[in-house]
Amino acid sequence: MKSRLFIGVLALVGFTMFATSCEKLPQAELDAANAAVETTKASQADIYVPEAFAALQDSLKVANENIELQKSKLFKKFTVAKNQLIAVSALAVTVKDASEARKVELNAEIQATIDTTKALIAENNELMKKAPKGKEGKAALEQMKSEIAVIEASLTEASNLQASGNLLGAVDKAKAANAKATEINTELKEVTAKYTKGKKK
Amino acid sequence: MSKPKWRIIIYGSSSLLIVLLSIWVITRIQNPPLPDLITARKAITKAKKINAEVYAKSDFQKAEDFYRSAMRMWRRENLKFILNRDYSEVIKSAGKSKTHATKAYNSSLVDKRNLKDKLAMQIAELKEAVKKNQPLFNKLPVPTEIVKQNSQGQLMLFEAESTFNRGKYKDLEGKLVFAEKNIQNSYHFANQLLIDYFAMYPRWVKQAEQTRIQSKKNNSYAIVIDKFSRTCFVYNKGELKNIFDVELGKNWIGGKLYSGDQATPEGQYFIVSKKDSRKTKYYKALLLDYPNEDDKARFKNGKDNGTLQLSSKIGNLIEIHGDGGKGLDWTNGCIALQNKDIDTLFKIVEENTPVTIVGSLKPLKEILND
Repeated sequence: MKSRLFIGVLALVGFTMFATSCEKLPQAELDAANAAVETTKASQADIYVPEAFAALQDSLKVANENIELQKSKLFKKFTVAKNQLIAVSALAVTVKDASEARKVELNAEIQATIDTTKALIAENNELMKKAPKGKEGKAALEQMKSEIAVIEASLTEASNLQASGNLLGAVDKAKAANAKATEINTELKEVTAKYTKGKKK
Repeated sequence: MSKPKWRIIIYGSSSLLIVLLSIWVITRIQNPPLPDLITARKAITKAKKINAEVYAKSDFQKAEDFYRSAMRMWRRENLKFILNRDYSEVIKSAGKSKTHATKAYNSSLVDKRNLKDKLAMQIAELKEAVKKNQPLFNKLPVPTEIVKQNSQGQLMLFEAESTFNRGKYKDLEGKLVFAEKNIQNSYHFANQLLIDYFAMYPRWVKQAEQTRIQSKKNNSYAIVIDKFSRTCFVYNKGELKNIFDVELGKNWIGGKLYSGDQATPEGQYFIVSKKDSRKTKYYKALLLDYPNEDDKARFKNGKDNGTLQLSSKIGNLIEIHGDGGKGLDWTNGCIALQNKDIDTLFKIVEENTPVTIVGSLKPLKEILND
């Protein structure tokens, strides 16, 4: 009688241990983490904050490995994996925010560069008006006019790239246009200064 | 046998069976392949850090594919009863992932470094070419489309440098090809223009020397204009007396062909009249006898062979005048001096003073070396 009672209690304890040792797969957290990473990718985080995005993807892989590790065991504990997945979802938000912030920064930089270059072009056109003309009114600065036309076309391309979302390409193009416009501006100022000096004589 | 003895035998046999069964179960259960997956994942991360997905695309892609395959197989095995699981294929796949990731890393390291060095050199060489050739290019009256080509090339070079500084070496190979092609084409055009023009160099040297000798023979003044160096040489009795800076027409390379071509003529002329400030709007002027007989003959040939339109006019009123010093070629074909210089010239020359206008008194080789 006593031994039967003992075996019964032992079986009950064993069953309880078994039941409480098998946690459920954190499916909701897994789905949420996957969705969060996809959303982050859609914000072009792989382009604008590539290192942070790579770290995020790595974190998700670690969590997935942990899940499979637990599934490999007889007594499964998904607590650590669940917490890892929650951390991935939180990190995804941070990375997405960083990507959006970087895009805002780049857009501001592109716009500032385009505006500065347009101002330089306007100044260059004014300087060219002051430049000396030939006997029959034809300007002797057509080479610079052609260069300015090319710069203007490049600025338009930079704006188009910006509009299409290729911000890094737009930055490079806008900076190049600015550098060339600055070169022409320096040249024109030198010529104008020389011309003004000549007139004073 | 008594009852307690049977119990001992039964309990003992059961315990032994349980122990043997446990040992069998434990030996059947495989270790999860986590270490192999971790190794593969770390190898992929390491390769990604140096952009192996760009520089060793094939191997990197295989590494990722084998890793994903390993995870899929692991998931599949985990669905089976624990004693039936076999992780050997998972381990194999993870191993292949690691191998490809390592290969991608090693080849990217070398390729990226080599590409970076190659591109840095290309950019430096192109910038040096611009620094060397652009000053001369800017002086030449090249067609608008050539100017545009040169500008587009230089803009792309700036852009390529910006991309290089961001470390995106693969992205800028195409940009550099475009930049180099456009810049070098424009310089090639300019060089050919000069080579063709300087075919006349021996004639120019001869004409200038003739003028100097004439000045010596006649004990009088003579003027030689060197268009390329923008210089007016004034000789008296064969000796060089004055040197002045000049400015020319926009299309100063080559002789004058027709009225409105903005070209300064080349050849041997004479001063036909002196104009003070009442007779010219350019401070003071010395009118030349353009067109001379050579100019007229060339103009007629041009019309006869169709290189000039029938409606073209030969032009006239080519002068050496004042209001120069603007720092660029602005006249419609005349030769402009600063007012202080035209003052000096006006005092010393007379009507019939010879004026020889040549392309250059320096050979092209010397100009290019300068």
